Amino acid sequence: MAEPLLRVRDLKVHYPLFKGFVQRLLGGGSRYVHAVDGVTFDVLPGEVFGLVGESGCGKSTTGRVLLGLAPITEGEVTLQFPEPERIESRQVRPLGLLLACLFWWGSAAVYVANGLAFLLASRPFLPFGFLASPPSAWLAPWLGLAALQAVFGLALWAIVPWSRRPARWVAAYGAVLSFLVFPWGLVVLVFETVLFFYLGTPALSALIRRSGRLRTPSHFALGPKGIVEGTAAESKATSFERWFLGPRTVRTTGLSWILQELRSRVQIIYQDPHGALNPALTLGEMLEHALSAHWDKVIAADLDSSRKGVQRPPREEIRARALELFDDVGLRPPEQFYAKRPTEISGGQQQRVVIARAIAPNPRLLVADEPVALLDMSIRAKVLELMLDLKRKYGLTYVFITHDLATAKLMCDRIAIMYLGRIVEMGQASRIYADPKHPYTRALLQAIPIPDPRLRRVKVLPKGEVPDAVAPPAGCRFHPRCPVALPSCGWEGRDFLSYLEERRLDPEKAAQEERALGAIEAWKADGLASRRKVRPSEREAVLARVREALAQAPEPLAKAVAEVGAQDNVVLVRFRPPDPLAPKEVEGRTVECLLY
Amino acid sequence: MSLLEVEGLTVTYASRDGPIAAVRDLDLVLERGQTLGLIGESGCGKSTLGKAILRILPEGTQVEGFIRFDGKNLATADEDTLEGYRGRNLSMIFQDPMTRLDPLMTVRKHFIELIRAHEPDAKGAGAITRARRALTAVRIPPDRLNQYPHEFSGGMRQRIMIALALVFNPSLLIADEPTTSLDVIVEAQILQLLNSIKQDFDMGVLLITHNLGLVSEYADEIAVMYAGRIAERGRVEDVFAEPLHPYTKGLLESVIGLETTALKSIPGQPPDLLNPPSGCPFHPRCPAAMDVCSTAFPPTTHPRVGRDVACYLYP
Repeated sequence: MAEPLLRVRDLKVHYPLFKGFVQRLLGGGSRYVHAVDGVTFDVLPGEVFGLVGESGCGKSTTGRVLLGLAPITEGEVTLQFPEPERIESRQVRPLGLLLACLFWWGSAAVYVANGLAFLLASRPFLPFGFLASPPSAWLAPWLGLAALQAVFGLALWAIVPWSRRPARWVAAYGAVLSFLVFPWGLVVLVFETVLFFYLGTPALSALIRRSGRLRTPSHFALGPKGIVEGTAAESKATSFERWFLGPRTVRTTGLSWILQELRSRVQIIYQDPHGALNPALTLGEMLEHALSAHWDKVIAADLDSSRKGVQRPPREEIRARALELFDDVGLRPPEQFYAKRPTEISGGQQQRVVIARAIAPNPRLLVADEPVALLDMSIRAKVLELMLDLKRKYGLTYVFITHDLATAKLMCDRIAIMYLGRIVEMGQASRIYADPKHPYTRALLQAIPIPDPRLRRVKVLPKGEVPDAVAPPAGCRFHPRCPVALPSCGWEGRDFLSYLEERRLDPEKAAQEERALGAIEAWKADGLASRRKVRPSEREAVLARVREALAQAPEPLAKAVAEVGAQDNVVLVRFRPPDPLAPKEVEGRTVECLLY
Repeated sequence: MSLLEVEGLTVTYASRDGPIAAVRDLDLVLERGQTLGLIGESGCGKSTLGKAILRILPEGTQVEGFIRFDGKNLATADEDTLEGYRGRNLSMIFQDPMTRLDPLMTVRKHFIELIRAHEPDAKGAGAITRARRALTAVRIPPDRLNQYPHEFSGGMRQRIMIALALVFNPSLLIADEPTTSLDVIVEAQILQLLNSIKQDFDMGVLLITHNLGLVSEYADEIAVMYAGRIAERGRVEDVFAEPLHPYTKGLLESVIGLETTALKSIPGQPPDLLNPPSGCPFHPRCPAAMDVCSTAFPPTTHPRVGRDVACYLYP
């Protein structure tokens, strides 16, 4: 079996809910949306892997994580690409570093030389006007500042490659300090800081990027701390380079060269092509932007070796490649589409441009997030066909995200059915469609409208809707809606409340029960239990009524009750804790369900 | 007499680039207790038709022809008459329930406002009873009457919209893509609900959708619209078994269902309504196009019992 291209291990993405200032002051446990809650899967090279589920199941978040577009709370995603051809380039990095740091070393040297010149020859090295005053008034602070400057220069020099933020703090601190010591120092320091950080650092990182060792990493590991690049490349680094550049962990926010490298390998196609295209640009310009941002990767994949070693993207070649891409996605004649703007073409054509732009940097993995959901029926098939053609032509691997099981069946080799942040069933698409095992998969397949009136039948649908991901149900997340739930599936306090609520749909029962059990709001669900305060006099009546309601309850709910009891002025219904749930191998696929 | 008869209806929008005829010379009949699935791609005029029946079109839009409902022509009726029908005999539900419900009003207030709009003297208690009844009909616990729209899930909100539409026992319900923003399971739930309500309330339902699967599962009749006209109309079983119009054929072939093994699609792009093709609007994409197709729009014929087709293949 081939080495997986993508490995996702126990991935969790929890988005914090917004809390107001006062709430934050008062503290209390933070609440999170459990968008993805422990997902594990592999994608093999050349495969179409489907993530299928309803809205809110976490399929899109999982897709976004692969590009570093969503933060990882827990778990790890590793991407292993085949090692590409390396491009030889001049070793310019040491020179670049030297140039970038020259501002600091140079100015420090001027300070020191000036002080020394005065000490030895009793006159300043440079003809500064203010130096005409007696040296006792300025010599000491001058020397002090020179020393400080040297120290800060060294500190910044060491810190910058890791992260720019602490370096800025040091610079700001230095600026304040030099202001206190010597007013002129401030001017110099501010000027140099600006030069260093806004001219020096980009140049520095550009130079580092161009050096052969660091380009095109073939291994990425995304984790809660950000992206760690290239263990393969790392091993080839000298010990000095490793020490100097450190483990290159980059936060997923903000643009960094590792993210840029990752995104030349992994690209995404969104659902809404209209929103994904900039209305101010022509279609050709959009492709050119993508091509010039990743030009080194574009030519790395090119078999024509004469193009190698080109540092700056040449305009004509980019244009030629852009036209080729238009042709690839079936927008012909390419010259005509080159000058058009997004509003001048139809939705289907827009989506083709989005696809062309996604394949422009020559990616290996393409995340397609509902690529045809917004397109008209009569052109969906054509876009899907195009995606399959491109996959063959460029050797792509797809992560295909969709809510439409019919499309997934056509496109995917393997699929994972997701529900509320978990994968409930995963395996060969043909097997799952032929014989779905998880009750949720069965429900989804049954709910699909079939375009053949002869196959009309009564559907037994799961009740209700997908619950809130802030507080997902205990045990199996599907249990409150599951038609074949067991008593051990994770019944808890709030399930009892929804059962009471459901009973109120019958107007007669509602009136009686409202009198006997009180408003639903009077009940509080708390983990496995739900309770209600009662007056001692009505306690027995409420208890009897609860028992009666539970006797009429669906079997799994009724059998999951561990205790119905009363303590002083509280009536309480407590459920048994759920059985542990883990993915299991069932007939050639992975299923997470207690039935098996 | 049929519940709704549309005859020679033309709806023309005024736009910066000139008039756009979204619906052109269209005929349609809907009976009581029936669901008519109106199907078409985006821009074919299906939503415009729905809005034209209630006359809730933007200012400056021209409506010509006949929309016969309850013995009146809604195409020419004055605003007062229309106001009396809207939300009472004629109800409409839309694609996105969240934007149709006022986030600052409780569900109770939505009901009271609607009832008072038609019966200014209605008593609060009576209105609440009717609201509770309507909510129970759509399987929402009536205790939730005091909650705000954001406290309900997407499917529940659409149920509330349906409940609001049901308060006055309307005879015609227009559902414009009622489940497009919902998930498949909830979609099936809502459409099953609509079908049972249709029987309980003896309504006619105009189901506007782009999803052929929904029409095949939940409608009695189907009308296929293309570029503002009806290309084919007939009983759902008949049309799916033997589509006659080339566009219907292409559409049925391009549906991706669970049984689909090969990808097929209709060549070309949907027409530009500002400059529609001459003659039959489908002829530039049609695999069976003849010379005559570009001359004039084909007359509607009845090649099978209970079937209307507008195509020169069936003279």
